[in-house]
Amino acid sequence: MARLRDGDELALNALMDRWEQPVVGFATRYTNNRSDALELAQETFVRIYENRKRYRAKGKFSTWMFAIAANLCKNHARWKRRHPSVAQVTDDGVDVTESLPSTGQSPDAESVRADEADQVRRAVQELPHDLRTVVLLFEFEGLSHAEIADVLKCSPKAVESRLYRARKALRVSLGELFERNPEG
Amino acid sequence: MKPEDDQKLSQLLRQWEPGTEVPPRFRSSVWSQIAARQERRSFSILERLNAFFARPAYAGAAAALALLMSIGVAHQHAGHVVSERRAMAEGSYLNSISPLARVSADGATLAMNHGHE
Repeated sequence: MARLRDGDELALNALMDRWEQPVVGFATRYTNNRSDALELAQETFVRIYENRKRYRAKGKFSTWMFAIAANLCKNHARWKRRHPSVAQVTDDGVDVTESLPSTGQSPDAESVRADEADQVRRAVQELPHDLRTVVLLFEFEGLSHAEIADVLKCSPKAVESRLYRARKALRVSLGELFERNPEG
Repeated sequence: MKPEDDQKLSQLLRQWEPGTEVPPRFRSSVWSQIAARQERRSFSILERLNAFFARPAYAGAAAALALLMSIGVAHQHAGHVVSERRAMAEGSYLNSISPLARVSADGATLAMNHGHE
């Protein structure tokens, strides 16, 4: 990022090499819509390029980048709520099963797994922005409480509290699935 | 809430693995968006003015504003000229009708003539 800030424009390619997958993953899980997620991920990198001169290397680059991505996702979700006719066409059209990596299990087991993944997807989608962002960044992107606090501009204690509330809400929505899952 | 419950929930959440592979055109699309925005920004001031005056409503408003401003300036200038001319006319009228003004004017002329002699 320092190279990009100092005028090496092609350094953006190196950043995309490293971060395009996590940003697309975050946006896909947040929006639950692949084409929207790709657009938001592209917009994230465009914003990184446009704001390169304002970047201060105080915190980690990843937290700055996820803050941009999370804000874009939040604004996009708000826009979609105001334009529900567009949202209904695409949001439920995501087929999570088509992209599930094969586990080498029997078709029945694969189908059960896909069904469970779908329940998880729905449960996460029901969470409000702050809780959803905390869960996605912590569980899927592996950010620490302090890093998530940087992304959301709040204290690590607030992140801990949001994570607690999010887990509680997820356990309620996943109820039966959570109880019967033998692992843990 | 037990830590093993959190672990169990984490494992359950990780079953959700939507396709996050990035299409090959992703990077080129980012660069083309950057280029398009830079092009839009480098739109020169002259072009912006052209674009501004290309809209009939804005052009009409600008013309009306210019007309009002020129009327204002002309009015102010004309007022100044008229008051100057009025003062000159008043002075010459007083000279022509007042005997005292005429005498003092003649006296001044005589004094000047004696002084020269």
